[in-house]
Amino acid sequence: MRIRVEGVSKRFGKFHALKNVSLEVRDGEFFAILGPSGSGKTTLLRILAGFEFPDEGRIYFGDEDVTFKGPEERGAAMVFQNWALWPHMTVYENIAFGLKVRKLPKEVVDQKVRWALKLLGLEGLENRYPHQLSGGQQQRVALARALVVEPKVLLLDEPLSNLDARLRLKLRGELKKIQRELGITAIYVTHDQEEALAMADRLALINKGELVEVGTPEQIYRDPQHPFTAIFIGKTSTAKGRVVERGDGLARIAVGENIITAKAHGLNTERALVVFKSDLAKARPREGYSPLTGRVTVSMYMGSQVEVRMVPKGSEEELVFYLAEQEPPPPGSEVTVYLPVEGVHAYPL
Amino acid sequence: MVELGRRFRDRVALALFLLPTVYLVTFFVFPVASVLLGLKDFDWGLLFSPFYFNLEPVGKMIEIRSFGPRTFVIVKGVDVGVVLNSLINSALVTLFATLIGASVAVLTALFDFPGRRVFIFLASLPLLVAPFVNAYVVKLLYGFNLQGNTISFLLKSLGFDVVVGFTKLAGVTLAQTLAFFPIVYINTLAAIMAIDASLIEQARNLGARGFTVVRKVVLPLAMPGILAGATLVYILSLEDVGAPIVFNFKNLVSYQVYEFFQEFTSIGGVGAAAALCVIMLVASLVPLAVVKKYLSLRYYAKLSRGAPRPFERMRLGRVGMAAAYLLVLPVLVAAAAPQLGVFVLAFSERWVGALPQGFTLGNFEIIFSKPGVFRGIVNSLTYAAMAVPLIAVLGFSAAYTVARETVRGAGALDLLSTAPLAVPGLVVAFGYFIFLHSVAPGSPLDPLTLPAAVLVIAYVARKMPFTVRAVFTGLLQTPKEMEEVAESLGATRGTVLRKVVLPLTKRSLLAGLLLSSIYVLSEVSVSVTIGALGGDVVDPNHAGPITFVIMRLIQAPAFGGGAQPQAVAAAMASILMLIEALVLFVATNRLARRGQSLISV
Ligand SMILES: Nc1ncnc2c1ncn2[C@@H]1O[C@H](COP(=O)(O)OP(=O)(O)O)[C@@H](O)[C@H]1O
Ligand SMILES: [Mg+2]
Repeated sequence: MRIRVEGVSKRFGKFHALKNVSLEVRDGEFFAILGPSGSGKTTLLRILAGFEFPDEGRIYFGDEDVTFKGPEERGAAMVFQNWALWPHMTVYENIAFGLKVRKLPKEVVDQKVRWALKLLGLEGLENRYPHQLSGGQQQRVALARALVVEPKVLLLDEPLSNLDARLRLKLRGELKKIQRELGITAIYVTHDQEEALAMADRLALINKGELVEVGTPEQIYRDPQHPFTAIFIGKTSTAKGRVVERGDGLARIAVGENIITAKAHGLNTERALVVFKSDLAKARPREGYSPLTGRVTVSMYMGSQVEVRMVPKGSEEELVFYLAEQEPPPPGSEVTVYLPVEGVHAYPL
Repeated sequence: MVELGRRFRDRVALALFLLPTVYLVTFFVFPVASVLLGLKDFDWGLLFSPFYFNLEPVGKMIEIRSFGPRTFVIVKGVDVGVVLNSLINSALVTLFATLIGASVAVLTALFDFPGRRVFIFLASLPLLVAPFVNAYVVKLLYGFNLQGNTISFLLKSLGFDVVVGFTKLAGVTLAQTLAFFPIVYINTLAAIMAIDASLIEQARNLGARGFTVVRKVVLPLAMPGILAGATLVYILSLEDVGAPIVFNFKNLVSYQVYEFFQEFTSIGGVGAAAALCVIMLVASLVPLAVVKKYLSLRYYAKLSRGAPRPFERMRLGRVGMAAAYLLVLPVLVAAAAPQLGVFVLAFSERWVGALPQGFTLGNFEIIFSKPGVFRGIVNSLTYAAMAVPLIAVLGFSAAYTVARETVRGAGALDLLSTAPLAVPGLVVAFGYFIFLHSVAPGSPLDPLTLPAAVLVIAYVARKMPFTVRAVFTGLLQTPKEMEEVAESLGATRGTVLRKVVLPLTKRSLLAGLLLSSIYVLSEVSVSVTIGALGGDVVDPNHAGPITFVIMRLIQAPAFGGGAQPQAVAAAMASILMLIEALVLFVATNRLARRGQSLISV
């Protein structure tokens, strides 16, 4: 099912939670909505589910305008952040709920519940109550309960955030696989950039209620059109620079006494905001990399990497880089790091 | 003792545990248990006389007669003997009160509709208790009365020439249902408010509509609150003497026990009274055992921990609107009317028939001018002033122990400190009488010597639970680490309690004490039994508290000088209700923290 959000705004009192958000989710797509906490992700998802109505704008499921339809009539199944399993129902009853509400015959309900139990590896747990399950199992029940009604769209609000890191990784893979197999349209809200990049076919970045950018994970990571995206994705640090030379999507930028090559994004000003992708920096020279020399303030050993904080020559802003295969340089010493073009993005300032 | 001491962290902890435990064992467990002492020499065979159990019902449930154009509909109820009457009446009251209370709670908590606040106001009004006077006004409004009642008057002015009236057991059932359903309402409401929004939203998201959501999700999740409320109503109904006295229906267990204290010669004497108390106790313990879990502080803690995300109310559909306005609203109005009627009666010269007559402030003057009447107020305030400091110390200690200690004794104290809510007051009163009169005859603790002391002791035991609950929730919302950090910085336990715990929980403590004190002031069971032992109202130095005086005024035939004694009782009850309203408002709006439900049990 294709989903369209058109110019949606939502206020809570004076607070502007969503500002003129438009986006389109393709049929069968895994679409992630990524943003810092408080940016309006949940609000947008709740508007899609019909729990809130927008002050302005419209929501379409396919060609149908569902903007003011109640949650019961949308056929959009939601997985809540806390999973919202009913504590007084068994696993079976939880999963069967949506089917029983649809008044399906008992055999059909049973058959579909069995299918969902099997799909999520929950067989044998059907008579347990939620509190008798582990976190991962509870998460699966919540997912089974949503999938079993064959929703037009699956809405997921940070469904993995209550799990520990290991389990989160495991379920991330399972969830993606199931979505693929069923070909279901999924809208997945998260504040975890890694999760969004790993799972999504496309993702939308949202900040302070505004849609910042939409693209594939590759586009978002490699070619962020908006400084917010550049700063939010990956490990980054920023500095102010002066544009020395411009041309063909690239620019030469002075950061203190260093002159480096950067990807230019709509750069039409003299001064630039330079975003460094900290973990793309190298400790040794390479073809096409720009050197950046400065004085070390702090360095820390981090296992596979070394964190180096340095102030570039002729500058006062501290930058952070993560270098592989390197001893931590002593504070006060001079260090040079080498930056690839896709590791430096310049925006008008 | 040494063994017990070792399981506590230090002496302070041990002391905090022992204080309330020893008090409650001595002044609650022993007295209640000693009811059994009264059974000595009692011939149980006596109980199987038709007076107590009568399988051939006497009387007609409803009598309908016509005199000319006028039809009389008299609802009487049948008489099946003292014990069966009580059980059946309390079961019916519980059933009706639960149906009404739970419906109103679901309706107002889950749905949005025009007039919702009016419903809430009407349903909350009967939470202000006006002992005896409420039942008296119920009788004026709906009771069968040859001089006519208000409801029939209204029917007549609408063009129906029908006289409707409740009398005898049916009157008792009606009065109790109207007075007690808010207890189910408030408990159900608290349970519904504790449901996280996502549980309701998920159901709607999967396609469930209004009534399905209620039936499949809300009601099961609110069941603990409904059951807790229903059990309390059942117990309150079993022990109530107000409605039986007003409707002059004596064939109830509560009335028989009450009567024992009037003459010490109820039919069958001490033995029969003790046997009836045992029956009352057993009858209340059975349902209690079922819902015991839901009444414990620790269970309560689960409900109040962490604020659930509040849910959006659903729009009420057409059928729902019809049900709300045609079914629920009339019941609410009918239940709130007696409460308002108490105020009307307080300002009336006379109200014996369908309508009150004459406006006067005289009833309030009489409160102050008749020494025996005024004495009741002085007594009540004195008792409350003595009971409240004790409740503060004991209640705080109990709450702290249950909230912070994990030893087994703490679990027992949890049960012990809420049990007084669940044991009929008449059983407690009778137990005190037997216990103290036999353990300490002639001493100041013998109720026949000094009822005042016994009243204070009993009030502390019976009304402490409200303070324990309030402090307990306050403690739950105060992380234990705040105390631990003070200890790690070298503070002694005493200092920690004084400098950290008390300041952080004092609002809850104050809220609890306010609640406890209004329930002390409006206590009935012990007040009208033990309280009657120190002389009658005509004696200006009697020991009876306010509720005792109110009862006597309700029973009084007439004063010299023309004022209606029941109207004076209403004036006293109005003052009591105003104090209750004020306290409830302050305690719930000013002192309770968000999400803390104080008045539900
Ligand atoms: N019902 C509401 N009333 C008032 N403010 C709200 C409400 N729901 C969300 N907000 C506010 O809107 C902003 C966005 O919230 P939300 O959509 O939950 O953010 P996210 O899910 O991205 O963390 C937050 O600042 C939040 O406080
Ligand atoms: Mg959120």
